[in-house]
Amino acid sequence: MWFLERWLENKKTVKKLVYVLYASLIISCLLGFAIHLTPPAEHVTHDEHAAPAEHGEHEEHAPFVFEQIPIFSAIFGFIVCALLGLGSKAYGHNIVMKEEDYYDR
Amino acid sequence: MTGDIMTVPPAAIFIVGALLIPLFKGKLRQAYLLLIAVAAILDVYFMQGGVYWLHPFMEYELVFGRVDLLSKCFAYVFTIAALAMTFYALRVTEAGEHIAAFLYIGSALGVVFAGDLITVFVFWEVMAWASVLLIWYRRTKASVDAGFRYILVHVVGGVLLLGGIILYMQESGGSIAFDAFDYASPGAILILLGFIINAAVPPLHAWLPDAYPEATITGAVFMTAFTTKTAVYVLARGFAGFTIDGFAILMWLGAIMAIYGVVYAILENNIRRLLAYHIVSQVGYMVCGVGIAASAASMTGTSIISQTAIDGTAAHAFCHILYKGLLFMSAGAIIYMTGKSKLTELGGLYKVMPLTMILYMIAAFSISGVPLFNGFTSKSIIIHAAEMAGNAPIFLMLEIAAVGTFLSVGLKLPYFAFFGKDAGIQAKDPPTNMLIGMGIAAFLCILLGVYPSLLYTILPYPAAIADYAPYAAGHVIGSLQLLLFTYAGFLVLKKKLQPENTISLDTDWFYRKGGVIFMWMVNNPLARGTQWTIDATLAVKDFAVWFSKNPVEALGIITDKLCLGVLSISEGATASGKSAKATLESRMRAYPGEPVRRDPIGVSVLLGTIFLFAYLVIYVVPPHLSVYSMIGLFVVAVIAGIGVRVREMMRGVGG
Repeated sequence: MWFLERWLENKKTVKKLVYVLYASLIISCLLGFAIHLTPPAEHVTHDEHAAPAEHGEHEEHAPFVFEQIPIFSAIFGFIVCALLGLGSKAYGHNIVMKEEDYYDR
Repeated sequence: MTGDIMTVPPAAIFIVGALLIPLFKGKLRQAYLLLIAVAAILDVYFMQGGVYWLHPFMEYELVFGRVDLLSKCFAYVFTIAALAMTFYALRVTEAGEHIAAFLYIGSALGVVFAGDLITVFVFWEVMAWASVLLIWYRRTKASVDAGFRYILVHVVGGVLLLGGIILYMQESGGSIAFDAFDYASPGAILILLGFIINAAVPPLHAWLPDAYPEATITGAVFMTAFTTKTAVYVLARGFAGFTIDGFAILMWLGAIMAIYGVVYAILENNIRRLLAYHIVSQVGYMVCGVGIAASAASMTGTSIISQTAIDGTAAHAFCHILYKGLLFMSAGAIIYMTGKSKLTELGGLYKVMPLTMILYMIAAFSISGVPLFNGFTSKSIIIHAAEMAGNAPIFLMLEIAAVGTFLSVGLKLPYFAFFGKDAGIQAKDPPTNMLIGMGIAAFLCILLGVYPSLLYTILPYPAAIADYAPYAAGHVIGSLQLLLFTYAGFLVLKKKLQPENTISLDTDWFYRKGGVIFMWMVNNPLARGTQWTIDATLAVKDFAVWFSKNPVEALGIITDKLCLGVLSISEGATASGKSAKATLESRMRAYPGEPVRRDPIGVSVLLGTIFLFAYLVIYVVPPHLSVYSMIGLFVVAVIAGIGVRVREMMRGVGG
């Protein structure tokens, strides 16, 4: 895989990749808004995430209030990623992480 | 539709097939192994629905063929996975390892088609004992130890299951049918405990991340598929309507489990252990799916939710076996080709193992639920069921686990193993047979991601999800947002998430440290106690031997010792005491001396007289005295005797 190697070892392409990531982050959010603004009637039958606002307890598709936020998944993903990463490491460092020969001592 | 084709129990194909493996060698054996796996797939395909292969056993009837959509769905993926994994394991030369693997697969299929609890139990045990061999064949000290811990846990699980079955037979009036358990009777709870040990539900899960990373390269791949997924099958079969006073315990256990696994995976450094924690997490989704079905079953008119949840569980088990097998195959390939299993020692592998990297990423995208890969089409059904049930906490917990899954398997592991800092490892892609096995799994991961309907039609309740469209725009965009922003979060936190050269304590701490304490108890207090009783018995015996050599002299020596003690306490060190001591020591040296006295007649007459007198006293006096006064008299006599003897010693006539 020499081409991949030459490509990834090049600082410029790595920078371009980062821009691609930024662009896709923004596009995914914009698409979220686009879906949200489309008339709900078109989506009610086959789209459970951006379903209409009114919801009853025994409705077949019962979306949650927080799912009405167009970029809910984006915010949720970022925050949970940070909390999980930092929280787990804090838990590990303070409680469960031990030297590798812990059980042999 | 296929009525004319005769089928046999798929379990029998693998189990009988396993026993014939030693007859073949080399290429012929490889062909034979693949033939067995293909034959099993065809056999499952042609099996008709119904209940057959009945076998009388004592007063019961064992059912080896309960064939319906649920059991067939699991059997399909078991046999397909067996084929891919057999390809992967073709180069293993040890016949015993192949036999263990086939017995293991066969018994898992046996559980899936079992219609009664006794059959379930028997295959359950075979599964445990066959799989432990896959750990022990690694032949390292770590694997031997881990194997023993593994089998001990599974023996406990088996005993709980057997106890539960026996109680259940009492409760149900002798029925051994394996059907849904609806209420929390003691028997059902014990059976549930036996099942969730195999499903690796925390806190009973520690055997899995403990043992799987220590198994052989190929053995671990087999193990990812069958033990936990068989447990998911029996839970879906038996506990999809099970609540404890309306509380759907499996739903909450599953959701906790899904998060628990990802937390430990974030801390983990060993690549196979990291993936093993993701088995815990992914099986959490399935257990949660069973629980959602149970929680919905208690409401009225919501059978569609229950059916969707069970469909999701079965679909996710199906997809999970494929991508998790592929993940373990890729991790195994890394360990096989580089000899290293720690993220801290790996890095830059994409240059030398590009195909492995691509195949790994297919599996990683699948488990993370990236659109067009199979995890996206199966995981979402369970989450969808949580939505239908209107259960926001469960929905959010499962989404949290999804983020954590992508974070560890999709980002952290590949970043630090395949990219990141180049560790300068010399290696290449694994042999062709391993790549073929991985290729089959990868192909199916993508196929079921692109054409989910292939999977949806073989689910237990195809009608329930006939209208379900995973590729609805909102769902796809939501998933992409979740994954992309997780990626952004990873890039921000990359330094913090660096793997560390540590192990993480889990609930196996209790029995691993507990075992050490137990062994200390055995080796110290208990062993000493045993030794003390032996010493004491021997001392009594020695004394009896010594005493019986010359009882009269022995009694004299004992009395004198006692009197010497009294003398030294009351008078301190005196000349007469010293001479009495010297006399006593010479008597002890001379012991037993001449046991027979020179005047035997006189002594025996005296002794006879004394005994007769004592008899007279005992005969005449006791009726007028209480026991206490007798003891008092005796003590007074002894003290008086000692006093007389001490006086003699003081006067220097001792001895």
